[in-house]
Amino acid sequence: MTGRANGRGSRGARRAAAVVALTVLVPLLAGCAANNVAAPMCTPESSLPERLLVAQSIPDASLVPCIEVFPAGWNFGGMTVAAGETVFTLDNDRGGFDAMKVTMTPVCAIGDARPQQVQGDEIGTTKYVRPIETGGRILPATAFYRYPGACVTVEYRLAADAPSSLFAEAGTALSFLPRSEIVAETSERIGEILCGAEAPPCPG
Amino acid sequence: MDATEIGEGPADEHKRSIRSGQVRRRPSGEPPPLPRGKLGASGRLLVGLLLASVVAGVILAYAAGEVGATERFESSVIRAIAKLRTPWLTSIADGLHDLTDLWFIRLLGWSTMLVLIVFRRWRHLAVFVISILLLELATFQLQALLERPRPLGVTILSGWEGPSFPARGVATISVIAIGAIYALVPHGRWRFRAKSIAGAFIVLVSLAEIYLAVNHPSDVLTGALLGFVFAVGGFRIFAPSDIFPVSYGRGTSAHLDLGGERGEAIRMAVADGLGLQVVEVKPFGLAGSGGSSPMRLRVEGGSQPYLFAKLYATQHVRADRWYKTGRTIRYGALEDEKPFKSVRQLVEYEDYALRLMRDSGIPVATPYGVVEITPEREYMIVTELFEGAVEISEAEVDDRVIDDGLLLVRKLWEAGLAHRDIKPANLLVRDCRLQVIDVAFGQVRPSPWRQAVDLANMMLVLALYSDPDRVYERALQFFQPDEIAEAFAATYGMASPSQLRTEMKRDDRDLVARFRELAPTRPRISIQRWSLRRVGLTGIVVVSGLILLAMALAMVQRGVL
Repeated sequence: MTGRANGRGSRGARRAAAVVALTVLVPLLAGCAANNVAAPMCTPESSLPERLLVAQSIPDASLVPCIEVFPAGWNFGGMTVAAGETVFTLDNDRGGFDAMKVTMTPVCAIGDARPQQVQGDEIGTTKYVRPIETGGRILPATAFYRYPGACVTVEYRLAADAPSSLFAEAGTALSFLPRSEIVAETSERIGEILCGAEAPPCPG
Repeated sequence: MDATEIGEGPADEHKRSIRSGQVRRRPSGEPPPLPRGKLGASGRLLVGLLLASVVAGVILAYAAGEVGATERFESSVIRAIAKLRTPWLTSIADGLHDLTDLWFIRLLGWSTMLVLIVFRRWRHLAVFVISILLLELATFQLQALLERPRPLGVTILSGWEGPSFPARGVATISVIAIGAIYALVPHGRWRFRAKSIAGAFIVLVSLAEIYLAVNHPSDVLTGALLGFVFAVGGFRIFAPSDIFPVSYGRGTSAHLDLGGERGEAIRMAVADGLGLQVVEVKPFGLAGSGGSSPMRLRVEGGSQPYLFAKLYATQHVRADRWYKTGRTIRYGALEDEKPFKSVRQLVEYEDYALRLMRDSGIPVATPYGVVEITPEREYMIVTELFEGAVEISEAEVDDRVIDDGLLLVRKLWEAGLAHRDIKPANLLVRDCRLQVIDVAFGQVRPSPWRQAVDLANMMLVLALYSDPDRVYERALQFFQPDEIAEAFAATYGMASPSQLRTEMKRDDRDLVARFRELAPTRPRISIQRWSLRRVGLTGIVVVSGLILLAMALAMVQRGVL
């Protein structure tokens, strides 16, 4: 009798495990919102849809973050784009996955970040940096770029012992494209209006 | 009276009908009793939707290189609709759009799963989950491939996520709503009504998406079609209503519909093929049959007023294939067998097994033959009906019945055969004599293990309705103690049919243990045997499972939940 009871128990356990597995799986699948969009490159020769989607995510943004170039050792991680937020990441062969995370939102809380002078491709933005001290070094953990209509947060998730040059490399990857350029490109290539800032009024 | 004697009447009757010219050969060019190729309304709709979906995808994929024309056309449509925007219409559209959010989808999905779990409808649950998963995969890949921007030239009024084509929210609602209907609502009028309501709901949500300029018309159209195709396709292929019906009572909907065109075809086929006039076709013994549609035929003019018949269709072959694949993975070489490739092969095999067993003196029903309903798709095997017979569980099991059962196994052994499905439902008692039915699982030259299992299962069935000590004592007339010991060393767990296991669990006595006490001691014979086929199939299942898991984890990683 004991054997039978055990058999019943193990079968019950298997069924319970199967039910748990299924019940966990379905919510993960149903209505999943993750999306897989290619890198939003700044160059006009590259595909327009990615830049359009990023621009559409915050119609009031006067600038659109994009990737100028991939420095050696850097790769595109992935991008999710939605109304009100765009997030993309870059991986690094030394810094690991998602070594740099770029988030565009309508506003961002800069907290105690300090203002910093902007570079050439960051003109039109106000930059703030929140450094962290690690291993005796002060590193720019998070940078904020504020500009009319939106704010971009750049988080560096490099290992504590990552070479400082990686921060500089990451900085060269990110750039900003004036929305007016994408509006013009959309009009020229598609014959339609990219609604929002820097564009003629749209119906509705 | 032995089995051969029982069968002489019907066989003679059949010969007489041939001599009298009642059996009719279908001339070349004449359609079969139930012609194939007639798609039902939903089948035609499914094919149409598939085609439309493919065409829409191809057009958009092609247009991706030169997006202007498609975008301008669809934007103009959306702009025209945007002219209708009013605050109250916008709030209604917003409400409908909110239904594509996770909470509603989750609620619908969870509720469906809960009901399926409560009713222990595991196959429907698996099909439901996998349909959703595959749809998510398809929409994800299509979005990544086309990367279509949201509508241009018009203000977008509501939230969105990811590329526009196909409309993912609409696709998910569609697959879950239609999947829930196929999983929960019985086939027939109620399902049709539910599908109509779901269809109207999906159309409304789709219109709201266009109105709010969240999606283009082709996005929502493709999303809805994809959801429909994945749900309907999944259920029609892997859980067809004919074989796995949704039923909440003791209905007779568990098998192929035997009325209407098919009922007429059965009458015509039996008249032409066997020369017998069928007066009535009635489902029969549904509870004990999962792999075919059994029925009782009332015939006119014959010596026996009733015949038994089993209808096999392509769905049954498919179910047999999945069943055998599952058994190969679970038990390996001992059950490693090739599935039937066609309905014809399946029905021919059962007819052959019946005749072989009858010739070997096994008390089986006399076969009348096979009739063709639809070539290569539906065949029916007709046999004698054991009138007045009852399942062994309802009969008095005396020494004669016990001896019959034991002798039956002895004869199987001597003929080099195995029945492989000895359980109460397949053992009938008529006039205090035992008969065996359902020989479709029978095997010629089976493994010694399988033969031993037949003996143990027979002894267990007999002991269930009598006494194990008495059965053991009677068994010694036909078998050596070592043979009985081998039988119970080979038989444990899944080696017995599920109905027999269930009945044994209900019994207070531990019959297996008692037989093991009575028989000489013998070490257990392992059920698990490995074969290349088992390794391959298990590998495929494991890899598929890992892929599913990886996909689920990827979705978690992307912050979906």
